[in-house]
Amino acid sequence: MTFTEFFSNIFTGNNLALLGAALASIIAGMGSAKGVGMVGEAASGLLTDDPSKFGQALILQALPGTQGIYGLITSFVIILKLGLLGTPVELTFAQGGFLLVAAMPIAIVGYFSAIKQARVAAAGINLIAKHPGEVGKAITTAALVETYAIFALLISLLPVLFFNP
Amino acid sequence: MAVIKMKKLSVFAHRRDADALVRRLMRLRCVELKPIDDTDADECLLETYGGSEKLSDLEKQLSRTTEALSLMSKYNEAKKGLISKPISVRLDRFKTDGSYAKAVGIVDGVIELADKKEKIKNERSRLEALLGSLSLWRAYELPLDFAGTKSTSVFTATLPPTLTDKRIDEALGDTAAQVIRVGGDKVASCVCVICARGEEDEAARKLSSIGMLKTQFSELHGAVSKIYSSTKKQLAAIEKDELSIEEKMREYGKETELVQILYDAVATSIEAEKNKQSLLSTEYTVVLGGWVPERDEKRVFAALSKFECAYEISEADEADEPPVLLKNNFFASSFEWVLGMYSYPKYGSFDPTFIMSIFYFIIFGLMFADVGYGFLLVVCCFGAILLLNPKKSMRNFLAMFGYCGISSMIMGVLFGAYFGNLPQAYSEYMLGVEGATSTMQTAVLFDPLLDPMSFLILSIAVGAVHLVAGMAVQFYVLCRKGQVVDAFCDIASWWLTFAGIGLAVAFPWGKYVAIAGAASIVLTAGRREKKIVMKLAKGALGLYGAVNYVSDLLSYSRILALGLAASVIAQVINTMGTMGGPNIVGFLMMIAVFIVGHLLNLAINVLGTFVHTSRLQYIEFFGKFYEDGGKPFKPAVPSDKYTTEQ
Repeated sequence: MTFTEFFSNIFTGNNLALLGAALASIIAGMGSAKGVGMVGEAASGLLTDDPSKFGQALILQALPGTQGIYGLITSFVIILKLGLLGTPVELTFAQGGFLLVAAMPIAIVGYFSAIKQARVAAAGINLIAKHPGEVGKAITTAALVETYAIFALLISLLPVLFFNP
Repeated sequence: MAVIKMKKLSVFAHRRDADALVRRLMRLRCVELKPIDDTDADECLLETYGGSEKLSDLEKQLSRTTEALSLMSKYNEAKKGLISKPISVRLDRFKTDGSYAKAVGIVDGVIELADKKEKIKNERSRLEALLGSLSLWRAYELPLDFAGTKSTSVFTATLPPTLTDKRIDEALGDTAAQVIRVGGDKVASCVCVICARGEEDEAARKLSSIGMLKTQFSELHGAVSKIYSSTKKQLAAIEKDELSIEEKMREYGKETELVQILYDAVATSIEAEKNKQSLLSTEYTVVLGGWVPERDEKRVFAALSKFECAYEISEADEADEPPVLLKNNFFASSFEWVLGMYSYPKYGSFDPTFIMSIFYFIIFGLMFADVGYGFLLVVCCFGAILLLNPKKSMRNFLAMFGYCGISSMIMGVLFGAYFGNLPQAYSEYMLGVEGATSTMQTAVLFDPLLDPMSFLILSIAVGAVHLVAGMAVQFYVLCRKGQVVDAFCDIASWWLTFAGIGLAVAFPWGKYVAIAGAASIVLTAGRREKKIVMKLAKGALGLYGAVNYVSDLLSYSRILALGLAASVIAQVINTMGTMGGPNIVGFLMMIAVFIVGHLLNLAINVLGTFVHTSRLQYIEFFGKFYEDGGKPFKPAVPSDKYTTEQ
């Protein structure tokens, strides 16, 4: 097998699209895992003093988890388009590349927005430690960071949904 | 949809009536007592009411009551399960008819019993440890503190269990000593060493070389068997004590309700004491100040007329900052807490709760359009309200999500989502209808997954209406303040521009309307500048505001994104659940996957939708007009953790 054959066997359209699906879940998921972990540490600190704030802390901890879900959604729609759950579709190199690129916004923005959101949410944990009534403000400030992940999801999803092999 | 007008209450009363007066006002639940900070009053009135000692006593009693309640909760057989109805009671009667003293007695009794229980537990573990350490020595018949006779010396020790008698004899050599085995286990064998007096050191040294460890029984006297049996007797007595304590606790457990009432009585007294501390007083009089909503004025008058006191209700001054109480219809009042999470409107400003609640209802439904999930929300929220009889704040919280669930159901019908694509997935994979997932249509309007562009346009359109509504409120607020020129220049000129852009799509002349609007912005935005050059520059800069409107509008695209997120996750769950195919195993798997998956999706998306719908209100909508910083009205009320006023 020559190198060219090897190369074209690996980089088929389907594999490129699958790479896109994998990256959307991997990178955005990594960001969310890190983010949820960060807020979780801060939350445990608060809960040692006051276990009754569990509900409020849980909401703040869940916030940076959504980016990973957005990644998952993008991956899933790509997998559907590939027909991996029904009749498989044969994609050209260019089509596969199209889906790979489409997955990038949520993969990359998801990663960074999860971590930045986690930092705001962890600061929000300090806020509710001192002012339990202000959980709404802590949630809102953290939710603002998520806006960009939502936009990235939109820009990832629209091309994928409109994609017809 | 209004901020309720507040009036200032001031009362001069006898000092001896202070307590009764404060409690009466608390029972009305419509007076917020506030410290009087009048400098004139400071000069002629000598002191604040005081009573901090009484307050600390009450707080001690409250913490003891809380402790007792948590100890008793295990023994309370009457109330198990989620549903607990508040106890209907008259707290003032409770204080006078002797129940108060009885309840305090129960609290003391419970805490004393708990202390006793703790002590008994310690004693028990001490005795059990003693029995454990003596168990190997049970066959030893000499008293434990017996050290020997005139000519012999006796001590106890342990040896490694592997040593043979021969080995011991060899080690002792010619020392006059005898090693008697008493008992032992795998770890050590217990021995008694008898030797001639004077040779004990020699014997000990020799035995130590083969692994002997001396055993000391300090503070134990008499034979092991005697100690053993007396310890056993003590243990039996302790067990009896424990049983009787349990029995008494169960007796006390029946009185839980009384202690719960005590909790509320004490908490109410604390609240009254705290309110009294802010009173100014002389030797015989007190002055009390507070805020009363205008609608409750008469009730307060009626209550005060029963006391020997002078009172007055006056309008709020300019300098005052009255607390804010909102009045809304039953639907919108459920959304007041969403407003409260942001900040209450300033006293006297516009209360947007009603308009917000309508948009909240619509946007929540669009973001989370699904008949199945909406139905679950409705059932859970309204079910909880009916069954659990929650407190007012909880009731509003649940009602809001219940209404949002109704909206989700309506939108779900329009966009054809029933737990995502459950009908399609079920017919294709379980009933075997070919291609149902791609051809079966359940939507009345259109399916957002197949036609996301239409849904995006719909989202932006709803956003545009929302923004224009925000601007309309701003228009109204400015006009009410008398700034009619500002209202027309800063808001109506934008509407003209928007309308022009809208018309331009259909009619070619529309663009002239838009240009007229833009021109009016350029001409008027700089009206406050003095120099003509600055007027024009500021005017041109006014057009830059368009960027804000466009970015606000694009923010509503999140409705599409979150809507897609919910339905795609539901689709994942449906696909996974129906993978097993139409057989028993597949069916069981489907039920398990659906329950776990759909509940998880519901939780994630209710949180996400709630957060982002709120954000659209707070930033895009409130940003246009809201005057925040109102202090919520907090009337002094009796504690109602367990009870309700009869």
